[in-house]
Amino acid sequence: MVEVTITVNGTSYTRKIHPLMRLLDFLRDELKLKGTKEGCGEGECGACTVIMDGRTINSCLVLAASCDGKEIITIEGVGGAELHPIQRAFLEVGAVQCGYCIPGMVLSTKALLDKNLDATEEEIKEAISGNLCRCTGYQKIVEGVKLAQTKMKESRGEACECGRS
Amino acid sequence: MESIIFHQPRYLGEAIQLLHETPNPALLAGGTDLIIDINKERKKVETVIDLSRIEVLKTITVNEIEIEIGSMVTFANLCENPIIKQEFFGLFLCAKHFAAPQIRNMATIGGNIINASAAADSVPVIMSLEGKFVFNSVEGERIICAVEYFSNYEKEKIKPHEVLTKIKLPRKGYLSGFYKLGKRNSLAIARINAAVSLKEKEGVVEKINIALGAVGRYPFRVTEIEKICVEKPLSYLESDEVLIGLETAVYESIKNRPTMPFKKEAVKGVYILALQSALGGELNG
Repeated sequence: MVEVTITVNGTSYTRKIHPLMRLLDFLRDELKLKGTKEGCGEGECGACTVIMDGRTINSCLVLAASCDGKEIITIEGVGGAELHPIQRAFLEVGAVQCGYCIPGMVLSTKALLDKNLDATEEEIKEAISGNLCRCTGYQKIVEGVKLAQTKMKESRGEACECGRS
Repeated sequence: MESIIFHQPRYLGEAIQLLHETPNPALLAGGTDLIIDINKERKKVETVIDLSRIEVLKTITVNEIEIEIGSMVTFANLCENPIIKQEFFGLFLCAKHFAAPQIRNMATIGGNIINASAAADSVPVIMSLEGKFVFNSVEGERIICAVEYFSNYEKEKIKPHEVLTKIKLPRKGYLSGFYKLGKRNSLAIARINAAVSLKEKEGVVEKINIALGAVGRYPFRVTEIEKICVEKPLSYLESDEVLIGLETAVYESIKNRPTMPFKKEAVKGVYILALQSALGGELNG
């Protein structure tokens, strides 16, 4: 067993775990954060995407033991008391069908927009290229990301280009 | 589950000592292959040495003659490095089109090399750029050309007590490019890839290195074709002689494989796109 301390959604957790426990299993089984999904278990589908130190990773490909001292954001940590603008945008455009891919999609979107709120459609598609939607609802998801850009700009007071906002 | 020993050394010397003392350790780099193998029980491990805390392996340093890329540098790091984009454009393209963002954020150049996949994207680029690998162990340092490492793989491959620490690329001012043909653009593992590095003066080829991947057990350079291109005009690089030479090289390499008829044709287009990306910037989508 190894002892790890991992900060997840702003809270520090110390646990003794098996050295080969994946971060995905740490989140779901140790912390009971079930929003992170397991899809392929091979890093292909992106359902298990989380943000580690500002970058998206597949939590099925990372040992929790390797994450000692790291900061993780899961879907549970994206919104607060209210939904995050990305989540509201996805709901408004109807980007969610079965929903299984959506936590990963939202986190890939967040990682992109936190760095580049003016991302082009090409950059949006690239950012979510590691997240497969088995309902194939990509068009609505891309629309959702674009609406999220508008909402996030509004909340930053940048919506009006004339500078009055 | 049986007990597993997990080491996370912070210093290279510590890792080298652990490698020396530990029988059959699994070296963990980015984990994008090893963790799958462990989880699917394709690989049994007793001791894991996680290299992710060793800062010196995550750095890119430049001096007048070469760039040194730490083996734990990720493909995302490669994309973001301005010198790599400016002077080693083929490597930049390779990194940019390497898998999905989540994988680029974890997968390391060292892991890509050591896995020794026939389709490893970075290896043809490193071969075309005349790169060298640096291995360290308690016995010291071993430096070997990428081409020699893979052409004589059984003899030269990484030893159980060694760790790949650096990839050295000489700063020769080559124009370099890369193209990969996959089933789903960059997300896919390459079905065939090509890297080209060249030097030209007033439209005449002074030197060219062409490396092909996923058309043999390991990537390789096509030196016979490279030789005939020297002192020819740039237009010769797209001539039938060169393209037929590439087709023949692929045929000879994989003549008994069912993919041969497809790959011996595909190599021509893949090479031309790699060449054009070297000469004219990115055409790689």
